[in-house]
Amino acid sequence: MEAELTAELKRIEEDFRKKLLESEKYDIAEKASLAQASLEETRTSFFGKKSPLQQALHKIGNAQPQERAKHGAAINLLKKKMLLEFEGTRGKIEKQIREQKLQKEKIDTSMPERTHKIGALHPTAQVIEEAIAIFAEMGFVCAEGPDVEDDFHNFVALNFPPDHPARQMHDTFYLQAEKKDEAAGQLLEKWLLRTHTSPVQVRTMLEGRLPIRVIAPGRCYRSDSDQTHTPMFHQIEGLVIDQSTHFGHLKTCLSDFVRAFFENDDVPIRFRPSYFPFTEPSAEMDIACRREGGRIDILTSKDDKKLEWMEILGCGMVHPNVLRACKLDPEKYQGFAFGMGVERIAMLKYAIADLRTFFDGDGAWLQHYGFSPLDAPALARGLRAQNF
Amino acid sequence: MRFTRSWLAEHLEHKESDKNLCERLTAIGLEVEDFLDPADSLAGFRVARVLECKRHPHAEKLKLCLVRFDEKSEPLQVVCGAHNVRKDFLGVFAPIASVIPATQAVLKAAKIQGEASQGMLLSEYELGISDDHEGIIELGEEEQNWRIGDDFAQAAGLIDPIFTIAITPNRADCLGVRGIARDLAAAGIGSLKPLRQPKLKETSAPPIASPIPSPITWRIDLERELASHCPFVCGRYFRDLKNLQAPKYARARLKAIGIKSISALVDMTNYMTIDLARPLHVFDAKKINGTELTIRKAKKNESLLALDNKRYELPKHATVIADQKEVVGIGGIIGGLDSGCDENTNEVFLECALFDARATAKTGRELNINSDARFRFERGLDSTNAQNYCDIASSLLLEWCGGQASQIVMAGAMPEASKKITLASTKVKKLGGIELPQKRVEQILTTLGFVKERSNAQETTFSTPSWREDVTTPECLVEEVLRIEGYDMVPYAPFLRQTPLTQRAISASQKRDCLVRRRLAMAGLDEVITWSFIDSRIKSIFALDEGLRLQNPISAYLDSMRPSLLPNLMATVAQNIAQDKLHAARKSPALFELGPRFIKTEQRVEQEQVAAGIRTSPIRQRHWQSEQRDVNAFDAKADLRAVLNACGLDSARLDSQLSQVAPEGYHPTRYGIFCLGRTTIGQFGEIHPELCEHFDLSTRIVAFEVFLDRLPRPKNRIAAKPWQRQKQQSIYRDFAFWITKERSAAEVKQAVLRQTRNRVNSLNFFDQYQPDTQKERSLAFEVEILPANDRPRDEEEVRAISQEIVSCLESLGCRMREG
Repeated sequence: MEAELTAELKRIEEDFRKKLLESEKYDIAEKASLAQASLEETRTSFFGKKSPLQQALHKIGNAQPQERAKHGAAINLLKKKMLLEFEGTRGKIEKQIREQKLQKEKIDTSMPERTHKIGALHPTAQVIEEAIAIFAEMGFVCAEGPDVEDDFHNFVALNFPPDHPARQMHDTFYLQAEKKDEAAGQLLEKWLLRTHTSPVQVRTMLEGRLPIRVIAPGRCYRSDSDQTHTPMFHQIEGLVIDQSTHFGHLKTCLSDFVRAFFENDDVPIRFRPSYFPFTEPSAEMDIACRREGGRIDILTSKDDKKLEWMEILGCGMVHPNVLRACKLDPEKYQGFAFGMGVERIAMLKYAIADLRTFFDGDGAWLQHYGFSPLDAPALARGLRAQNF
Repeated sequence: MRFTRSWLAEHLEHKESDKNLCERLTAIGLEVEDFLDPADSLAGFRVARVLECKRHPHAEKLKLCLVRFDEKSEPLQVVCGAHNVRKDFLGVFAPIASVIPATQAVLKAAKIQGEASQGMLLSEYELGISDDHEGIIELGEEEQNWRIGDDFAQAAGLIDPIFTIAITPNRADCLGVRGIARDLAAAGIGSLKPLRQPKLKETSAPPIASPIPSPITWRIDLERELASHCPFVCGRYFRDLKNLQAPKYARARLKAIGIKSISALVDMTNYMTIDLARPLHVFDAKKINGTELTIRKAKKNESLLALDNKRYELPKHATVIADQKEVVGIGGIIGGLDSGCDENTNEVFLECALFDARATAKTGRELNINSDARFRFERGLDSTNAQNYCDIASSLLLEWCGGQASQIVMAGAMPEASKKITLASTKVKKLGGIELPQKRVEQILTTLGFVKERSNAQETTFSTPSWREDVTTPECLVEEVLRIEGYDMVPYAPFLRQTPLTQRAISASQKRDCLVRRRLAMAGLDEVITWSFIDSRIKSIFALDEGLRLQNPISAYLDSMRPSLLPNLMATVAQNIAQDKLHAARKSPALFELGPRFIKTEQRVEQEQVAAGIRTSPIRQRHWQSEQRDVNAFDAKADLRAVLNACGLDSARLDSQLSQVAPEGYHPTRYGIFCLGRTTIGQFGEIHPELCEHFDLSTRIVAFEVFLDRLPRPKNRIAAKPWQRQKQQSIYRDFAFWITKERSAAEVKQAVLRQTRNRVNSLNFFDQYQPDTQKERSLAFEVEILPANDRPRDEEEVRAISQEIVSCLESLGCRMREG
């Protein structure tokens, strides 16, 4: 009985191996389903209810309990072994089938993907944000004022008396709308478009919250149009008022700004006496450049043979008449103010040749000079987020 | 302001190089805009004589000249086209390889119409010394003994370097060479020479004494309150003079700075203007009617034919000089043509007056006359020197023209100009940030002409020089000290932050603007900045208030303040498309702008911040996976909602509605507006075809506007809320209804959400079916039913909520769609 069983088991095992080999031999590329069918057939014929192993188990059903246990164990051992082999082969074949299927799913990924266009931010707006980022570190806050102003805020309070020749430097736009004197109910003067952002100085001082450190970016208007002038442009105004800020502080503040803005610690800087009705002493600040073949480069040393000084901004200590007009006591308070053209410093930093192009809205120009919306200026990571 | 090196040397004894002069001038606030040394560009041109001159054999207008430019070498043949060239002509020769200053071309040997030309005879234009290209330069032999072969520039005195400096409006004193010299001397550049004193042949001591009386006298006829418009005038009469040429040095200097030499008398007034910043006027005495000149205000309907050959109608406030018949000059601005001098003039009357700066500026601006005289008067002259300078001018006049001068005649009185300013000894340090010894401060101010009046340990009082009316406060004195000492000498002082790090640099609304700009760029729109002005001619769509019109627009295209950003965005889009019309469809620009729009109100002109954008068709680029399509209103709606979300507004429950009338600029039936309560916060839609036509645009264009200032103000505080996962799942249900065409989707949504408040969270339309023949359309939507507080809703509850939705919509006249 024992020998018979052993022979029987051996035969089953051999049959099983042969069957498995048959399944493996199918060419998966061509006959994957035949291989799968053959596997299924093997499974039902060797592990199903009528399988030879099951029959062998039946046969030993009548044997002595001791023998039954022994023979049963032998059969089960073989069954386990065969199952393991079967799963191995099935895994192998299924893997081949899957790989074959994936091969057939091939696509040409060199075809273009669907793109999402990202727009460009205007350099004027970006440069204003850059300036804000720098001045913020020095404790300045941003102030704002209206574009349509009156004579008092734009001129009178800034120590431009009527008929002052300095007014001629500001070709002022006037509106047809007239300002009403509320008390008298009379029409007094025409509204004007601010010629500089300096009226924001006046408004800030009149609010009377001291000490003051503000900057005020915004649109300005002058009736002037040629290669270097547009009827509208942007300025950033700055104002510092307390009891002790002097010209030495002005120099530090503005040279720190210029170096941070141009991201150039070595740019030669000079302060030169100038005149503005609302500051005394007044200065203009120049940086050293080199102009060649239509492009301007900012220098890092005074030794360059082609050195040219380029005006960057106007500044000065706030005139006592301005303080007085803004209800501050010039005996007690002092400070400095400055103003710079946004487009001008943008042109220098980003090599933009023509002022007028800022307001053309030319798509190609914007794509070239514009900024990514992900590029939010902050000193912490360098003003420009990316620079490849 | 221009002057030459030799002119400066008349007033300043110095040994500085031109380079140092330029640097110092700029450092003390007299910014050198340009420096030109003609020696560089004019070297190498020779005095030459035309030995022979005959017609070119092949060209009628050309001549063949044999030119000798060097006594030692052989004469050369030059082909010349100038009409004035002839035998024995003395001219300026440019040898081969010279660089012609006007064109910067290198001169080469050439054959012109078959004849060799070995050089060139030059015109003033080619030399770059004037615009005159009528013929070549002819050197007058009686004027000067020219020697063949001499360097022309040297021989002609053209090598005087020219300085061009920008004078700020406060420095009227530096509109004359002497003022510049004085500033340089104060800055340690040489020493100021004494002012040339007036001399008269017959007498020695000033003021000029004279035996002849003046046949013309002065009278000032101004009302008391206008007396300051001309407080003082003086003059002299001259006879037996000859109005020939000014001396060569004067003509050369005037020419170098770009003033054409006209006659001795005119040149003299120009010379005085530049030399001493003293404009004055010379009348031909024979052309004056009567014996009295009056300074008065213009009368009604008076006019003057001025020296510039134009007739000016005089405003009533203009200060004029009139003889006993008519106006002969506008005070401080321009003289009359009829009383002007010419080559026959031999009797003149010299006027030297003090006109008020502001009154002169006002008249000058109104008449739009820009003269050297006005430029100086309106910046303020030294009010005390009229008489002295009248004498200096008189002695120049006698020197240049001969003749005899009368005694001086005058009217009015010279005003007191000096002011006293007290400078605290700490002021320079406190304001200027530089520690300077008191002595140095005093030294700087005294060399500038200030006079120390008294002084103690705390303060010093100075009186100001008459030529510095601009100096009025101690701060002005600090500026004088600082600029002469040098701004460079002020030490950099640490400028430290004094506020806590919690201080925000930008306000909540400025931050909002930054976010909106970045959000729109992410959506694919390019940012533009367009004019705040628009063309009022697009009025047919935009109801422009007249009050928004500019009084003095720069062009008709930019004549009003914009009530909307759309027209400029449209114009920009149109320009972009026009630039590449053939490929416009490939570009389909999409733009946005953040900026103000302007509104005229009762009291003033207000502005509000608007974010506006525009998209053009097609919206998508060609792609193999998706169809291209035109833009539609929903593209603009998506942009608008993106802006609202970027502003922190929870817009999920908000939807657009129609208004009584479509907002300006939009298609009358394809638009929507977003409201918060009764306030319109945004609008979007297709652009009105009429507006498209105005800009010659034919494709479909959509736009949106968000009125940022009308949105709730973002809060600065941190609003932190802990998060909790929703414990139970929501349940989703679909519905489909037939609704009448008058009803909007928003109405359906609002009705459902209001009815099922706190139970239904969201409603999303996912389908619309609109048969042409029916008055109804079918809308399908999905609602999210929220779980009850701590348990899922059972079928019963869901059915009840669904039933509520159905009956709520049925009450609006909607029908549930079957099947």
